Amino acid sequence: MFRLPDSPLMKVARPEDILLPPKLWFVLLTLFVAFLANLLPLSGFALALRPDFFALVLLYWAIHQPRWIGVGAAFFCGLLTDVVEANLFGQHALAYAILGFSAEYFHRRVLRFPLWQQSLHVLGLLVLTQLVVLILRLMSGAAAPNPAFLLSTLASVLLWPPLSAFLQWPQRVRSLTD
Amino acid sequence: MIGNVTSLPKEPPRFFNRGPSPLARLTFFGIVSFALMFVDAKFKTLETVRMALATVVYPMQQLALVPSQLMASVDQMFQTRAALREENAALRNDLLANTQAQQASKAAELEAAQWRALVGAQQTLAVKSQPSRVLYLGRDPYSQKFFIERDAARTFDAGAAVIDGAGLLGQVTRTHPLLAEVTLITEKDFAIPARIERTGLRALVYGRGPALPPELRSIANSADVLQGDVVLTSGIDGLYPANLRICKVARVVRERDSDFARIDCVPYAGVASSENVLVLDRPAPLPLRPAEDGAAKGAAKRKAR
Repeated sequence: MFRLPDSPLMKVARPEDILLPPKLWFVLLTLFVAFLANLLPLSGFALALRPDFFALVLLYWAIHQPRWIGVGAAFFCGLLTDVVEANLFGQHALAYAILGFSAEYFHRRVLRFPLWQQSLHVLGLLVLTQLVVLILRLMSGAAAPNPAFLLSTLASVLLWPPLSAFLQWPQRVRSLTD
Repeated sequence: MIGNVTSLPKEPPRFFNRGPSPLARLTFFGIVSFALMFVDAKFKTLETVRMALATVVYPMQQLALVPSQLMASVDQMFQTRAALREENAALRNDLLANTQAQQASKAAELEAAQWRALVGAQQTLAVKSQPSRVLYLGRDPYSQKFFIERDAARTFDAGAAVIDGAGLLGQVTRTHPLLAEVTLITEKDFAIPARIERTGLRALVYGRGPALPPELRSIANSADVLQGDVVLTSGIDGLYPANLRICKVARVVRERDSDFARIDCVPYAGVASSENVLVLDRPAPLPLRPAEDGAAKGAAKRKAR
């Protein structure tokens, strides 16, 4: 149904494949880059379409490496997001912590599925995150947002397969992929 | 493709000690988040923490601006001479038109000052203004904010009005050492004391969030408001300098079942597009409200409680 281009860069390990353990610096670097990507000065339609890179990479590592990136790390990432978005402290922290928890809860299950079905799991988790933020915002008296903000979740979901392939690239055993 | 694994244990065996369970950690961090939200909303004591974190994050924000700045400089390189000349001519025309208007307004100001001196009213003072640049827009789809440059030489504080070439943009609501947060006039429940230029009718402009235009509230159905009227700041609150353009009346709906007209406005300022802004200091403080009035009101409130 959904196939990635057949290049070594875009190949993703099957559940039975053995991967090298990721390097901690690589995990932190990708998180940092995702955070920077969230800070890109966009506006208008591009902003509405922009996937939440930070949440996506966080989710990836929470699913693939739950011993390093779990609820606590997600919480602190959420705090950073709250600071740069200049809104109430703790709302993204809570949403990301829930994201981290659900990733930890589902990680064994999610990895058994092919990529496009993983994307559906990701859709569910990201919508949950958005819902938490939406409820907290409406409770604190904000105006209802433009419904276009849901587009960013869709963009995130579409980004999941290539992102997984890319983040997994350094972990694959070369002799097996060739 | 899926292996013959029938069941996977949900929890690892006891001897792999991984600390508290995920659910326990979620509960802990959930409670911490709610506590943070509560404290931030009620007490405003977290500003120092926010400021410290914001200062740490600032270099990253600058880094994220680099690609767009590069694009802009490349774009500038390829701007043709003809386009520049055209722009130059347009700007010169604008300057001429403005010079004429400025001379007229200077004369009018002088005359007004003389009249005020004659009747012994307070003089209005010129307001100090400081230029700044929009660094980036807020990414939060729920609120209408952006961030502008600030440094040691620029001393504006929270409460200062922010304008662009066309009109009032918003107000500085939070300052960090290197940047300041500006809330736009389209933010929900953002109120500005205003008056209508043509009639002098006083009103309040309310923002209604990103999806809806700002409106003038509590104006009687019978009031003289027409489509196209210019709405200016009235300067009554002592927060915004008087006579800044805010918005233009776009639509007036008078309904039988309501005492008030529904008046939608379109902001003059490029709420989503302006790049260079001017931050205006608060005008000279107004004399205090008459004491007995305020005291009586306060007492009444206290009694009511």
